[in-house]
Amino acid sequence: MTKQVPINSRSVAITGLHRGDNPQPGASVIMSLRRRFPGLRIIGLSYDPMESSIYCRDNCRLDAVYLLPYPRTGAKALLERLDAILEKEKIEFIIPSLDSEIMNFIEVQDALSRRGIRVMLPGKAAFLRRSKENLSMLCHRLGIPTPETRAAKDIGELKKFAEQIGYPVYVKGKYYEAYLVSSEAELYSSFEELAEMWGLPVLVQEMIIGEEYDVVGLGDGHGGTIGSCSIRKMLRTSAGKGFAGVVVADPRIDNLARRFIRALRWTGPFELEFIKAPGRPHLLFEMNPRFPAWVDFPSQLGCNLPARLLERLMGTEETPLAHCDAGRMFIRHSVDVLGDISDLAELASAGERIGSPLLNFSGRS
Amino acid sequence: MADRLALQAAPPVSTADEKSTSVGGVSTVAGLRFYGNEFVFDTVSGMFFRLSTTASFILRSLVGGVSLSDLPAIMEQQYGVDHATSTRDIQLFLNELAAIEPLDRFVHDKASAY
Repeated sequence: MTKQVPINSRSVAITGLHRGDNPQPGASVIMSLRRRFPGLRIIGLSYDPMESSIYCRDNCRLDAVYLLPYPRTGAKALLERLDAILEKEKIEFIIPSLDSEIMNFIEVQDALSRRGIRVMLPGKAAFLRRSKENLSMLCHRLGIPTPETRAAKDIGELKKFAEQIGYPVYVKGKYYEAYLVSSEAELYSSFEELAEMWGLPVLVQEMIIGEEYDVVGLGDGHGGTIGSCSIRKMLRTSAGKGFAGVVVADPRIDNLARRFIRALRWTGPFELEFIKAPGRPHLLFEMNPRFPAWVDFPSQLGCNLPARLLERLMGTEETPLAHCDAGRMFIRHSVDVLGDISDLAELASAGERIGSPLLNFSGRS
Repeated sequence: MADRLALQAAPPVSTADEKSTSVGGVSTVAGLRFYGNEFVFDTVSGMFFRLSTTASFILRSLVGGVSLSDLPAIMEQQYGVDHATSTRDIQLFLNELAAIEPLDRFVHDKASAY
């Protein structure tokens, strides 16, 4: 029988720590893990000292924070920084939570394994097949409905595609951000901004007006889905971010999600995004290769996918995932997190902070 | 008579094999969950609707299996209205229901019988 290591001596690193108007998933992953493993050592890997989770306490707290070089600096820079961190900090598992960094982590996966760090990530081929620029082609091959989308490598192509699809169109960055564009003039400025920020190609996609449905899940790497939860977004920000959602029980969405994950033999967390316009089927318009920012919602219903992922990585007994009943809903509630400039100073100058935020505000009123 | 459904759009689906259940004053029939007489949640599309008590009565009857041909008589009995009024109100309600994608499944199955 294998001797199990106490959870308090296990350590996991999380990225995607900012929870602003475009919330990243890290805080939700942390809360889900704390829900199941309160004593787990959680290390924040941050790209900016102003990421909000750095200053959290209670169930969202981090035991240490280290700054990472931006994803665009590449896999080698990532590994070098992780090596420096490993001289001070034991990290056994990493759950990357940002689209732009996943490829770097896939590339250093073997090197991490040699250092005793485990991750649950898709293969490079699966990752690329679902990328924004390839999703449309993959969906057509699988017979999964998707909005008409083209990938443009220059402004000439973008203009041609936009005219073929017909204005208004969405112009989307390779990883993030989308602009609704109604004219050629707007097209130029959107292209320049998105290409500079996220690189090429820039995507142009038909505009669909309808309800948005999202599926969060965990792929087992053999074509199966370990667990999932489907919601309709009830509130959307101007950037399309869901700030409220309700669980749905639609066999058509479940079927599309199963087929897609099976075809990719996806390993690890995913979020599938569908749009449903009247008279048209559900259209798959994006697959994110990580947990979404609302992943702690199903966790609170007993479908704790981040905890399940960690159990898989640890090789411990797996806790059954509860079914998410239709009608359960969440609504996002923004709060002000207290901090002190000394925390920011420490992180900005040293690139790390060991321990919780310095000030303890408890008892003040 | 009936107020109109206040509404949003979503998809049709067959849920014919679902059973009717009632828990804590909330009844679920064919994927529709009724909260009292003025609120219904479609578990398939995730859409919810406010409706009048009369609209709720017609919708509950339809999803509960009442045929369209029997519905006017049941309406007359329930609300004490004449046949012409009940028939017209039902037809108006069905027209509205048919335009709402998540709920049109309850009309299309029965329209030929009307």
